[in-house]
Amino acid sequence: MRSRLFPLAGALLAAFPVVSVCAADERPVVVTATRTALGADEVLAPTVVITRAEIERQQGMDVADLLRFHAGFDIGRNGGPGQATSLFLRGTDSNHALVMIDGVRINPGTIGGAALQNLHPELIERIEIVKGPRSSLYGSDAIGGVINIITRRAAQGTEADVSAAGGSFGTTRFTAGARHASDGGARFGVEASSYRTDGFPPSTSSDVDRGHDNLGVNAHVGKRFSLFDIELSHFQASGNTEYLDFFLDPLDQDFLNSVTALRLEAMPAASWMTRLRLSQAKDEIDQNQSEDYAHTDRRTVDWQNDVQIGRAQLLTAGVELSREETASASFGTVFDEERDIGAVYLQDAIEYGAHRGVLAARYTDYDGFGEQLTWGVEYGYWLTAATRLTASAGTAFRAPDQTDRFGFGGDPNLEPEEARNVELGLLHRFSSAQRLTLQLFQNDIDQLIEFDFDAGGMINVAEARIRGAELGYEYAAGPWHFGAEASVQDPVSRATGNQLPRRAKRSVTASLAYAAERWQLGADVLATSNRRDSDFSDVVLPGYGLANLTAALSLGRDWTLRARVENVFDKEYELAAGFRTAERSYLLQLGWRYGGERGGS
Amino acid sequence: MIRAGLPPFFASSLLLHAAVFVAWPAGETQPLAQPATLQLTLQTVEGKTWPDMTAYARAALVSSENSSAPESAPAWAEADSPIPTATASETAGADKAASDAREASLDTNSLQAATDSDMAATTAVATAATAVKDSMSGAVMSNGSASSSSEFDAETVGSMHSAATPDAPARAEESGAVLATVRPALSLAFSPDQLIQRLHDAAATYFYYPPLARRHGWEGEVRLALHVAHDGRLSDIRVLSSSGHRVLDRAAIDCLTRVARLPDATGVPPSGMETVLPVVYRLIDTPV
Repeated sequence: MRSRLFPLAGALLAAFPVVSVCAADERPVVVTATRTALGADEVLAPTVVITRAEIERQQGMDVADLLRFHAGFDIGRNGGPGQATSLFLRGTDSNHALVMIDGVRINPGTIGGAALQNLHPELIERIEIVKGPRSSLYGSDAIGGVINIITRRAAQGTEADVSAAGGSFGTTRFTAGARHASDGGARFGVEASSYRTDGFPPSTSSDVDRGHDNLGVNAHVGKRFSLFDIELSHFQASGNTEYLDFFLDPLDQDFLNSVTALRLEAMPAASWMTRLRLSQAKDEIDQNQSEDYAHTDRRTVDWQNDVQIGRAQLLTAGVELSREETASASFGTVFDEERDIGAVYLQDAIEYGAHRGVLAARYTDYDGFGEQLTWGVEYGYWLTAATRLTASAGTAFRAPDQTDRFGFGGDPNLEPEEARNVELGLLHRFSSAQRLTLQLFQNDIDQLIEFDFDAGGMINVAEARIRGAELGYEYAAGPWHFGAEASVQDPVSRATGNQLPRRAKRSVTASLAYAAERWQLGADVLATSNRRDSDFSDVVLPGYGLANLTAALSLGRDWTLRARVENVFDKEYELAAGFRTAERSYLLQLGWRYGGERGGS
Repeated sequence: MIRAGLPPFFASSLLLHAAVFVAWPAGETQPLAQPATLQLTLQTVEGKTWPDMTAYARAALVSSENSSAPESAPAWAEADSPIPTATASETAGADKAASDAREASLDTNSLQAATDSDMAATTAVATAATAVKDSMSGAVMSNGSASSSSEFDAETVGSMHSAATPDAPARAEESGAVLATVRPALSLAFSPDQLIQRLHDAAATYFYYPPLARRHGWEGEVRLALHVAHDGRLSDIRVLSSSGHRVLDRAAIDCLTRVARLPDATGVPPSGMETVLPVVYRLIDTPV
């Protein structure tokens, strides 16, 4: 239908200036709205969005490097590039953040959180983070929040870019990409990024450098037909990471993280959008000095429908079926398991005058441990045109991973970890250029799975309560952009009363950027208070501050020179006891770009 | 390892797919006959009503871009278009004729402002008698020719707009009148800017971002055409060019339909006027 109408509309359009009065002065009515994160209606939940412009400006090493400059995102890292990295979002555990690539879950089914250290920013268009429980839409792991990494896609026209970078620790990075989208709805894009570094010694008691090689590839091809839109995409990061084992012996491992998806979208009616997605996500680690490995292969069919009812209601209903194959060999414990996960979910987002409401529920069935019902209720009220109050409550869960169930000391009968979160929020816009946000939350997590020495295995034993307050301020006007965030939280184990490991009680971040026509300068700083290193020791990691500087200079029309100085003040700090972090280091990049946005900004 | 072979495999496979997809023909192609008919219609109206050669040339250009028909266009026009007659002015009410004449004389006052092409038109309506005769003939002729245009409209664009379908002939009469009278009004007296501003003011409270489009990040510009009657009533709201998303197109029409009537319609000619309102739906990245 559409393709038949388009040329017609074009003909009308071309003909109308003849009869129309106002053809010469067509001032448009501009209707704007804030882009919602995650493609679902998280209008009311606190969100963080890292845009492509911000990614290019910051020149971060990996996704974790970008996330850490937001308060409430605590990072644990066993050394430099590629080394095991964990994210503690809002004081929750490292496996309590659901990470997706283009909407496809990449958390491993074997053990731990998503491999953020392997995801390099060059292939990424934007990162959207929604804080708080989202299990009512996304299922397991979404206790502290959801991170959706959106990879690059073709915009209208043709774009190409190439860059070469080099810097401290023998780091080189080459990227190349080309994207094209035609008027007819056909599009494709390919990007590749090669990152190599000699790294530095991960351990404070070793002088052996440990390097990291990472080849990233992102490709997509799609076409819009008159009745539907189809897209095939593939993202992968693969390479090798050298590390030191517990005895400081140099070892290395190969890794692969990939997402392949076939997506079909159609509009059966003007206000009904339906999407069918077949996806496969892989997370693989293979040790090169031993037979150990950890593999996850998850295939998912996801059918989601968004139906707009009237002008104020958006109903979302979906079905998700996954088959997760996990295989692991770790220090003599071997398992090879398969489990099926089925889920149905329903969400209704309502706008009524100054009121906003979101109701969501999801029923998830694991063939392993049974079923889980999660729900979420959010309410927002625009007090004035500039001030909004929100209140929300929701539940979330984490299904025991296969290492919990079949690994060392595992118990197949473990129950899922369960969380209940309540939250109050305030949003205030001082002007079109300034925004203030305040969130207060309490997240209670029960049945946390831990290794119990008395029981000699994994049990649902621990309980945690995290109370926190987050304050955010953002200013954007003309060439200036300033953002500041502060987080105060009390992540405690209710059993022991101890502060949860590697989570800070206080953190502050700020970024300041100035973009002139030909050049750009930016600074990112963070400060965080002390953290306990682990439940099994009394080691406390002292608080630290970190500052990065970035600069960009446009060299003519197509060329841009970028520079980054990390850890400007050469501060020594630890993100995990006994592991080094980067000293003052540099990165210089020369980039060429054809089409799309040009220049240093 | 096998994995080392994966990136090149995927890259080459996707490139191959890309080539196939891009080379694939784009959906259904639209039949040429219909747009050609439309072009002819407009051409006829323009060519005969007002001796505006620029407009004629433009219409011809458009039709030559879209079909192989332009050659036959003048012939069709000659054969079909009624020549202004006394019958035409008789059918019109005396009031209307008078008001048209008033307007025409008003128009001559601000002749200086008229552009070259408009000047011919204004000169043509310089005397009241000629003006009445001309505008009526325009109306008559448009009735004849625009009916085919509106049938066409109803058939193809009809599914998209709410107000159009019911009575095609009636609408044709209306738009025919517009075609005839808009030109003198446009060149003079009433500023289109004012009308647009009033539309903006009226629309401000009604426009919204459809939640479905917002969720999926859909943006775009939909251009609406509409008729503003003498009393400010809006009618004949239709999509000139789609935003590419039906939900945005529909929302734009819905909002303008809700506006219903401009509170202030002073300056709108008695027969109303045709205007275009572009509506841009844009999502803001940084929620500042």
